[in-house]
Amino acid sequence: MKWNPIIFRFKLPPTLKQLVDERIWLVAFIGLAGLLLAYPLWADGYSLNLVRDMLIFGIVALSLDWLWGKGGMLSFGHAAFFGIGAYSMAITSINLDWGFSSLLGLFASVAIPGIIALLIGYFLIFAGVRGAYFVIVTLAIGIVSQQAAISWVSVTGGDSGLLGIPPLGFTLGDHRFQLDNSLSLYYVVLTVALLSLLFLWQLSRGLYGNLLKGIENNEKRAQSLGHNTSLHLLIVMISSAMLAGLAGGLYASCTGFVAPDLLSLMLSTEIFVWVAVGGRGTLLGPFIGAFIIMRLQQVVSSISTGLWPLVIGAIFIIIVFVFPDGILPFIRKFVVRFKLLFEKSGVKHGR
Amino acid sequence: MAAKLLETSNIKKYFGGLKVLQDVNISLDYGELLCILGPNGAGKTTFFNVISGTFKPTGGKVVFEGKNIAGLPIHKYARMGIMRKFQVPSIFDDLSVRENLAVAMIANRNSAPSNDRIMEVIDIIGLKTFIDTEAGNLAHGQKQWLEIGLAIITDPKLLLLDEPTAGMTADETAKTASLINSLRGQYAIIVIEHDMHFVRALNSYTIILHKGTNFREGSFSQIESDPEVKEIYMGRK
Amino acid sequence: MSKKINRREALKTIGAAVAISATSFGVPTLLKAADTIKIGFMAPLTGFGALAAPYIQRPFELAVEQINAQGGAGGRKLEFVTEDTQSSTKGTIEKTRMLIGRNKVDVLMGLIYSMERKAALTVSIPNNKLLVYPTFYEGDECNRNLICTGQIPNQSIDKFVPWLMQNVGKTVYILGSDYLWPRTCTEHIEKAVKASGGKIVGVEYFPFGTYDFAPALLKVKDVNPDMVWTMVVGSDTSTVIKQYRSFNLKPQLVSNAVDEMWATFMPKEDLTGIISDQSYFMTRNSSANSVFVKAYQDKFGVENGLIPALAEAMYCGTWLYAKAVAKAGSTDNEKVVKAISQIQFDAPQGPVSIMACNNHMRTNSLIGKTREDGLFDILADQGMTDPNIPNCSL
Repeated sequence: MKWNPIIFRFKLPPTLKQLVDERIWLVAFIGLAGLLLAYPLWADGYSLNLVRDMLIFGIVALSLDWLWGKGGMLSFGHAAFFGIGAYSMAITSINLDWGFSSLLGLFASVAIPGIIALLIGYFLIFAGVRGAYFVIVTLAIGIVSQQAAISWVSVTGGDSGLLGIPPLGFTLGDHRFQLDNSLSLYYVVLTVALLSLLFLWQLSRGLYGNLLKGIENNEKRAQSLGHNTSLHLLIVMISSAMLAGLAGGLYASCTGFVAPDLLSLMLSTEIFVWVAVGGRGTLLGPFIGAFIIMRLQQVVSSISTGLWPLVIGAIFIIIVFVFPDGILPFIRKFVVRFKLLFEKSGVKHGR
Repeated sequence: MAAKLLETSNIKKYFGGLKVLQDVNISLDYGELLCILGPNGAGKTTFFNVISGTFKPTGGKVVFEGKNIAGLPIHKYARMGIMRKFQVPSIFDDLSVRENLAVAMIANRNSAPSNDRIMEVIDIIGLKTFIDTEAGNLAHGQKQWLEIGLAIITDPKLLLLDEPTAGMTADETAKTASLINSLRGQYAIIVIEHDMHFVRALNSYTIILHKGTNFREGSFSQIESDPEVKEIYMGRK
Repeated sequence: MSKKINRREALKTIGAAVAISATSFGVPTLLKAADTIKIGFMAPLTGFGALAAPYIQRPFELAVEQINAQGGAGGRKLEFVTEDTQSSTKGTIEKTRMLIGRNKVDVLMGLIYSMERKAALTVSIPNNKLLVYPTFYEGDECNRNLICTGQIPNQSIDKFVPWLMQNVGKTVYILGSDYLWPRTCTEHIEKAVKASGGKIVGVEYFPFGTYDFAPALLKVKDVNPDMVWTMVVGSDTSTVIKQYRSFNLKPQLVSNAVDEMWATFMPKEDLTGIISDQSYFMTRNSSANSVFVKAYQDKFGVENGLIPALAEAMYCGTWLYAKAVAKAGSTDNEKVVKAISQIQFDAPQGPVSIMACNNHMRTNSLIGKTREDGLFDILADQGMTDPNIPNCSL
């Protein structure tokens, strides 16, 4: 396929609805970004680490939303890409005694999930596997990769995983430059999160987003117009896997460990829940979903050590009832309705 | 002799023992309008599926601009300039009319996309007051026109229209006929229909497909007066 | 588990969760009152460890209650926060970070699996926090910030093997799960057996989740050793013992892993007659033990009154820490660690103390034979054994 930059350059005049949507999104984004940038001013080291980890999981949720919300393909084994990224980082940086091994590890944590997604995606997507079949196959991939992590003990450390992953950094001459304090790690992760969020948003608000939505709506139509839809979907899948892998690499080096639960079905389900709760297809919503659910999990599991899985389940069901499309779309609907109401009453007063 | 735009020779398509197409031959010049008429089950849609790449023919050749194209992937057909409108409206429901056309337009690699071109096409298909309407909310006839719009915005060489008036009111059918007549000459068009009245309005070279073969061909008035054609239609309807 | 979930508690939990998550984000924890000692207690309350978790949770809570009833440790009351490791590395690390970072605990206690211990240590050591760990394990940790109160291999084997050679026979066939603890124990057993003039006639390891031990058991039948030593752990234990019984094999079953807990998850008649070495059996005859068992069963009820060695070790660890703090007059790590090797606790298993060179506890080596009720007839009470970790001198 020829590189077709037109998709990214050409702009349609926006509709009023789009303008409102974009304004809501931007306000939410700037508000959240501002809050997170300023957070270290009053947070202690522990809370900073906690929010950092949440941001990392937010990036994973974002990568699933890119695949599912924008590309229309739900992966139920998305933790596999995250976990493979984390293990790539861990194995490379622990076993390789070289000044730049942790940077190489970070590279591997992006590249290896990308290559795996390329192989799997090629055989799935070009074979026309879509919808429920895609969900089932990705579910299987998640289970297989977790099994591999558990049973390949000599490389992965088995059930207990790998501990003592060195922090991100490099050695130049006699000097070691290393990211090992909470503050700098926090800002590195925050930067990655905000940039990937902005990048994917920018990418999907234009014609490319329309094309992906079109493919999801009616792939046959897009094909018969001349779009190589399988290739587009494959690219989305690879980039999603790479982003999830990057998050995995960051997680491994920030927390210093990897374990099979990083690619478990449980985590895959949680990622799915974050996206669903935050609002599928909103990109920002999954971050909010991840924050809310994880925060609840921590609090509930400390209050009632035995009951917490049940309570989390109950809260999730309540959220699904109250916000069937997710939290962000709910807020959007609310804002739009409020605005309409306001404009109507304004007209009345004017007369 | 210069190559024709499209020539099919002895197209066969079998589904197991079911011989849907046997030896269909057509030939079409640039800018020419051709109607393929036939009762339900004559194999019209199957023939379209073959020349638009959805089905690989069991036998025979599909030659487009001098190249045999049978068996290429679907999106390649579109890129060569073969554009198809499906029988059931097939558009992007969640996108607005304008976005639908934009997504179609960027599939065309030969000319730069422009908002002016989109407006021009919207004008042609008569959806000027629905630019920002989500396509899923359009009326049935409007969806059909939008789909024709999707086809023509890619600047195709050959337009395949599969029963463009299916499910339309008499008013909408007349409008569709004049829309197609206005496109005549710019693109080669093949229309398949079972509605005689609509084909009469187009008044073009017509092929009658019956039991998977060319049954009769000629100008519409010749076809219309053929007693055997009448029988096929009378016998069925 | 007998824990009932009542509606009011569930609603209260949801309410509190919502309230806390809404208000506590990033608000600094209130400084703890200086006159209490804060313990972070961790156990695998959910996940595969959930069945074992109560056996460290109950003795811990009992010890805290008793210590506080006596006026606390050096006049300071103990308070504790319980956290769930979810039986996973991830859960353990997150909770350890939280207990140290947010709850600002003075000491960490609990955990059952080696995986949990290793995970917690990656956080607690850099943060210079003491961890008190109760489980018997492979015995290779050597760190000032870790106190272990369970048997390590030499403590369950060095006195057990000579006894077996004298009372059971000379040939041993070993069956174990395929991981570090059985492998380390096997090395010790081999050494001890050789020293007593016996012989190892077979060793076999099985991956976790093995459901067919027949090939190995057929070999055992062929070789016909005097005893079969099993170190198959987890849910595979009941599989191997059931199959052993169904093969109707004659060799005496012995183990250094079988305790009272096992009768809760497999048929007692299959367990009957196994000879095991533990640091503690609840049938041990001593006044300290009868007081302990009575207090335990008064607090938790007879139905929850089973006390395996693991539980008693947790009880010892909690008490030893409290006594060390009292002696040191401080919760400062260095001072507590220095003090803890200078005190003694009259534990249910006997008078226990911590060895200064490796921070492990001197434990008893009791030999017991499983009765029909799942408890043990004590065959020998061999007294305190020093933990031996080669090349460790703290």
